[in-house]
Amino acid sequence: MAATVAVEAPGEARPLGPILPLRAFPPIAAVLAGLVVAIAGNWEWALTFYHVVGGALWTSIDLFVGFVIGPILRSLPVPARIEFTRRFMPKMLVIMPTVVTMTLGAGFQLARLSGHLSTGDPRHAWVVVSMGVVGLMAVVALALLSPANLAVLFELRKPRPDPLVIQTLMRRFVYAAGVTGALQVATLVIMTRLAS
Amino acid sequence: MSERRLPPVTQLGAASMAFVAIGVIYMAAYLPKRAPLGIAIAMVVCAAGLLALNLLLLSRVQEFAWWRFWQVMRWGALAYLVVAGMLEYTFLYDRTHGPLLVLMTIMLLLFTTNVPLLMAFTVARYQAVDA
Repeated sequence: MAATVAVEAPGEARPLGPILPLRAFPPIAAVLAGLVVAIAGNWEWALTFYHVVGGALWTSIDLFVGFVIGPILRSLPVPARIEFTRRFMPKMLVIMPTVVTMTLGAGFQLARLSGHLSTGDPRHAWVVVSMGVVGLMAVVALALLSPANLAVLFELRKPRPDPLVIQTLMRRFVYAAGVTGALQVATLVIMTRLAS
Repeated sequence: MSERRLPPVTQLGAASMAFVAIGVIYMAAYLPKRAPLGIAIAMVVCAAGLLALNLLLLSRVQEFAWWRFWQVMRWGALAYLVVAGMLEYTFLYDRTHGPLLVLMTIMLLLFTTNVPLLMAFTVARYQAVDA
């Protein structure tokens, strides 16, 4: 398929709804409010729930996008990729920050309560290693993944989205998700080591 | 897709954020004790230097969709200022003070600038130059 010209007059942009699915905001606000309550009250079960559920979703989604959705997407015709992307990316832009916040917010508080944060704790080194892995994932996610996600959504709002731009950005998105997926395997090793 | 020659904003921004991450992890690794600040200061200097270089290189770009860049930058900065405000509150709530608070606040500011900058740059590079 011939690529259309990426640079178009902004005035031609068709009137679309908001980039983010606004109806997702109330449940997300409820989830985050619950997290704040769990942290403020040092509610151990709720913290464990948030950390385990958030971490499981984060890891699974990263691995699934990087190693299952990515290869399928590459094999689809370009119009199908665009249609998939149009539906997939807005959801990712609200789901991922929420599960990451759940995991890290609850995890830090759990580490504090369990004493693993303290330098005297025998498992302290594992916590520091996990912070390193999370730091690396954060840089990949915030510098590559999230901007690519947003740029795709802006491209899709044009009257004639450029397939080459979408392909380039989606490739970056899927590779970045693959890298964070691989790092998630390291996180799984660290977390199971910490919990055992 | 028309390719324009643009400075390596994403790479420099990622490197700047990596220095911030290393600095934060270094200090967090010493909790609840206070880490020696030399390495953390070096990380902040490197991160700030890369951000300044990034801004300088970007400011010299002429053929660019600045209208879209500032639109995304404004909203992104607003969102991350809220996040940074909450994080700063937790520092104060935990009675962080003195040079450690200054360092953490500078790191937070670098983070708050880098993330919207990268979002705005990535979106704007594929947009029409004229508004």
